[in-house]
Amino acid sequence: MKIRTSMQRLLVLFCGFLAVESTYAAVGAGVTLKISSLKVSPAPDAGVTTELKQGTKVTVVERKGFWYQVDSSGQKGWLKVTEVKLDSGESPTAGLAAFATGRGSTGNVVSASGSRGLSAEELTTAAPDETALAQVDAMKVNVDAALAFAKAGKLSPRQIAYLAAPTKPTNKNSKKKG
Amino acid sequence: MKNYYYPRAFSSKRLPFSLRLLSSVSIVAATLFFGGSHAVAQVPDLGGLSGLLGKKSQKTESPPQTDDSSKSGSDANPMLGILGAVADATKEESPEEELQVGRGVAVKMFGALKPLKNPKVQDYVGKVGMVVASQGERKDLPWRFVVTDSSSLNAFALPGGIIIITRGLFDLLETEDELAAVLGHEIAHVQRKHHFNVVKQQKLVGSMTSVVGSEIAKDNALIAGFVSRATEIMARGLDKSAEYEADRDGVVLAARAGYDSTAMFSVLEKLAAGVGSGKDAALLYSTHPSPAERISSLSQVITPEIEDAAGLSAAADRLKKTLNSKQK
Repeated sequence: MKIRTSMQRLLVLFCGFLAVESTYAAVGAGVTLKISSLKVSPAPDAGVTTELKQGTKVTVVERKGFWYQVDSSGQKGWLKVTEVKLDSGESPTAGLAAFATGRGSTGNVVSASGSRGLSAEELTTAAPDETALAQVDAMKVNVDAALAFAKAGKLSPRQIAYLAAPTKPTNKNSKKKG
Repeated sequence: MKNYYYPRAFSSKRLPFSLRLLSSVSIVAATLFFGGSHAVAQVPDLGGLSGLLGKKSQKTESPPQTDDSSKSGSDANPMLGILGAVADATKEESPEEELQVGRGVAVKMFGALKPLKNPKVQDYVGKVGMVVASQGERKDLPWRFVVTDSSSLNAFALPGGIIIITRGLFDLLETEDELAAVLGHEIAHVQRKHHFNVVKQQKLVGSMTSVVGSEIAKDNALIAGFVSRATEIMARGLDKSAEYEADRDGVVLAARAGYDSTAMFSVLEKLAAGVGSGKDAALLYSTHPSPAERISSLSQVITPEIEDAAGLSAAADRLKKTLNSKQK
């Protein structure tokens, strides 16, 4: 139909607006763990859009490295992942698929026709198979082969310390660095 | 002859009995003080302690169980029997026992999960696994990495270093970095002896009433008991804290090897998105905290070092290249 009246133009615009807005559908809900600075871009020295109080509800739109792009009541910006606690979600949320790229986001890649999954009972009651273990032994990779493989992949080893377990936040009103 | 005998790779020096007994008793006393049989999280760093002893004891390991003097004379005095059982249960230098248990569990699990008949994939996964395992404290274990032909989404870490990943989970992964993260998590379980420690704690509870027969019969029964319990633990899962710890350690191990430190996040996000059919993922979800909880827990402890390790490795697309290559 031809768009003649201004009302119709408005309708088209509105539909367009809706279409754009739907790409920001909730993908992962969470809350801020402490007072946080919503940044303009995912960098420590980026400008600050606004300060968020501890416990502010946010919607995670995207992740880049260790930064989340979030939507906080319409305000968009970036937070460090350290500052956000995702809603725990007992069942998997479809939302995070939006930024789990590639095959992960296109749904079921596993041929599931007639799939029964693997149950605890099957695991503990199946008849033992020693031949399979012998096959697995034959597949072993020695350290030299692994080193050569790492080199071929141009992997650069690094020194990194183990991470400590998280500690509970002490003072919810104190501003933490970062 | 033992079924799962490993040639001894270590010399026969060991710590004096009195020192081992003292450390074992104090470890168990602390364990019981802090939390009893559900103290996986609170177990006074047996993993760390083993790392400490392990660094030395990997080279200077104790001989097999049968000549262990802690068992002698235990029948005469019940108190000595209990102390002996305590020493048995918490002995650090029992890598052979750990291996035997792991291999026993493997034989049972392979009944339900068959190795995938694809040498190319098995070799590739084995290599990535060894690269990551080489970054940890137990790199000299007889590590084995195997993809099993199941559409379910699962990975298992067996005591002693057999790591199983299902084809369903492997199919989810898009980069070598993501594979490294998954394998790193499993390797971390073995490094910290998460499953083996739970098995040993249960043994402690049971040993108070066990009848002492011949040494060899006792050993075989012991191992069989461990294997049975360990298999149950594989099916039941560990404390949440052990899973969070394996996530943290796994990220570090993979990052040390040169892989992307955000890759574990990518994998967890895919799991959170519910890829794979419900039944395929049922066991995974029942044995682990939710992906969102794992992401949140991991997020809290990111250090500048880990941040610097963000970004795909040069080997990232080797996974797809390997799968697509004509080589059989």
